[in-house]
Amino acid sequence: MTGLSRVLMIAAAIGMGTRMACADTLFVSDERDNTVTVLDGTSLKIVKTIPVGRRPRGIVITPDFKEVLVCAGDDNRIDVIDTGTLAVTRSLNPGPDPETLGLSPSGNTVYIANEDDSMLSMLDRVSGKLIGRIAVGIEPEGVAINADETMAVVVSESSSMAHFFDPRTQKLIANVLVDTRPRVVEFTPDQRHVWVASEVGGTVAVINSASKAVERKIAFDISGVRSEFIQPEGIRFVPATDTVFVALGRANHVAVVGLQDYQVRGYIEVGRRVWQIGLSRDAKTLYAVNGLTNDVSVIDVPTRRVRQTIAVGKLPWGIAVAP
Amino acid sequence: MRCCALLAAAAVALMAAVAVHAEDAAEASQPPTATLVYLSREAPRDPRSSLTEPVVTEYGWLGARFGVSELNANGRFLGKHFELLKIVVSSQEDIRSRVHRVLNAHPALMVADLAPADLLAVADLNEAKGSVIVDARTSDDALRGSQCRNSVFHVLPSWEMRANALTDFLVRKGWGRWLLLNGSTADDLAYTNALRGAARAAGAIIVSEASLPASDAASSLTQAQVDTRLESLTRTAAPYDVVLVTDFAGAVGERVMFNTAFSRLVAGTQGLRAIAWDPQFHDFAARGFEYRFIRFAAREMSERDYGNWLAVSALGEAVLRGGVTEPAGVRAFLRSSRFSVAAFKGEGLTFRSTDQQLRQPILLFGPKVLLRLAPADTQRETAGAAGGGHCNLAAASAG
Repeated sequence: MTGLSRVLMIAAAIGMGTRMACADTLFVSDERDNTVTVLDGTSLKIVKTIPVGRRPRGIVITPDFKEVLVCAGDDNRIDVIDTGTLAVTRSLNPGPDPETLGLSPSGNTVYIANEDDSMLSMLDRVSGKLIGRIAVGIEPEGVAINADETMAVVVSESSSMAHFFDPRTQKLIANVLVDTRPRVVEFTPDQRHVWVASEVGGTVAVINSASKAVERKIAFDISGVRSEFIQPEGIRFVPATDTVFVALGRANHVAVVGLQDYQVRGYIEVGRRVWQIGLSRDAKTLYAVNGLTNDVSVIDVPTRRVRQTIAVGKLPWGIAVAP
Repeated sequence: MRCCALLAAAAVALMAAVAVHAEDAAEASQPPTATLVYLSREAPRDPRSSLTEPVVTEYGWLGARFGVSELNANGRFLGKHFELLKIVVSSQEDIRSRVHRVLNAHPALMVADLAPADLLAVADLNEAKGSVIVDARTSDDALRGSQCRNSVFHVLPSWEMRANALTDFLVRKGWGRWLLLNGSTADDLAYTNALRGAARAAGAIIVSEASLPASDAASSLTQAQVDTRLESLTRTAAPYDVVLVTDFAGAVGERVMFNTAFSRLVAGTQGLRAIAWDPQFHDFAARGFEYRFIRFAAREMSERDYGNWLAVSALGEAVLRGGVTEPAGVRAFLRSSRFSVAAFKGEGLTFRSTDQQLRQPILLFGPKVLLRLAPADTQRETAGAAGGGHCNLAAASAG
């Protein structure tokens, strides 16, 4: 073995070691397969396919990364996956038809949109006990909770509203009309705004968390794509940067948007009907879940290039990322 | 000072329109923000093609009521409330005098669950001229063509739109030679006419045409005789690919498949259908929507229910989002670029300005599943090819 090749081998080993150290594990909910596909963030190979309840959609990970919670809407339950053993260890009873869920930053409270019931349920994550239920608009979906857990927002698809409420009093604070069929809501990193993605309206509304006024609507325009296909869904803020990614559903692109100036800086072509998106823990990789091509696009954040596409289960919906 | 206070009050009111605090939300006991007038006419029950088929009542009306219940579920968060005023005339009654009395010279927001003749009679009333009438039921091409009216908006696809969607599919498959078998109702004949127009435009050939044998109470034919007659009608000298049937009642139309002389596909009102709604449709959150309707109405949603729900929803958009309740303002909003209605078709739907027809993807549906979704953008923007004539809303401004 030459000195050079030895050096290269050592370098490769170090390189691998570095990648291993920051390797993520991805959990993708497969709505039609009733499974969660577990992928290794380094090899991008399937580690395990975990059977869960029927019609899994909303999926989140706890702040300590020890549990993944997935909504099994057609079985009226939330399955809890242990990220160490990669098995379902228990289930929570969230009320009828849980479509998606949010988790308080502390990880203590689970917020569930009961789609068929026009209700938002709050559960204690550890005990599974019901803390409260709030009547909201028709077809509630995305939920977001602010950092100090004093304010939460749920959007209702059919009512086209963002409902702000106080989790401590469980009372609605304000109901804000947005463009049609809002599906996803996220607080900005500074907590001063919430971004609401409206699927059929084709826009992202930027709502001031204090005044509840819609300050801005971000629209998208991709040459060669019918405007009706531009259906904003998943939103991800890249920490400590000015970059926001917005999945655009049947437009088959992810938009890159400025956090401060709201300007669309570009579009990344991905698979068909891109739904939720997830960020690696080092914020260098974006994972886009493509519902109709049954795969995940792996995007390099700095270059905005699709590095690889990985096949997962059928009708993949959401994603949670563990370090 | 006083002026400033007024301005401040106006600003507060404006803010309230953007974000209404839940505690301030109006309850149902308060006067309605808007009253929608539902118009229909009593009709004999539809004949069923099978004795086991459930008897469906309150077609249309339950769709409209469901629409208003959903609007009120949304409105309670915004301090707005809708009322639905039901006017159903008896089979022989003159609808004009009833509507005349109810409107009492005031233009209104109307949901017309009416056949074409009644719809035109209402639209041509003097007081209805400033009204907004949303046609929740017809597919009539003439109402969207030579008989169009400024006050009338159409939510269900026209015969022409349905025929074009079906024809595009069949021609693309290479099934361009048709045998046309028509029923006897006005709808059967109008749809047949639209299919002829679509065939001409797309280069499909109608090799033969015939009327379906009657099977109503007046008919003396036995079921076996109907089947024999169908076999002889479909034994043509010229070859064809598809039998296109128009029989909305379905008693004979449902028997065409498997009674043909040759093994041929069936499309039209049976077999492959071009429709706006089917209870088995579940894409774009339609499943949850259908489920909510079943919980509300204790039965499945018919296309007529869907049309009425859609008519109410379009008017609701104008009131909740456009902030208008006066008919003139509602009409302007429905025609503006600010309007679109989400109708479980995967995209916001808008009205075509030329004839006030809602553009929409059309479902090409088999007996149980969605086969294709004919995109809205392939709909021909120049209406009238099917024989409905051309609509000129500017010339029809009196209407």
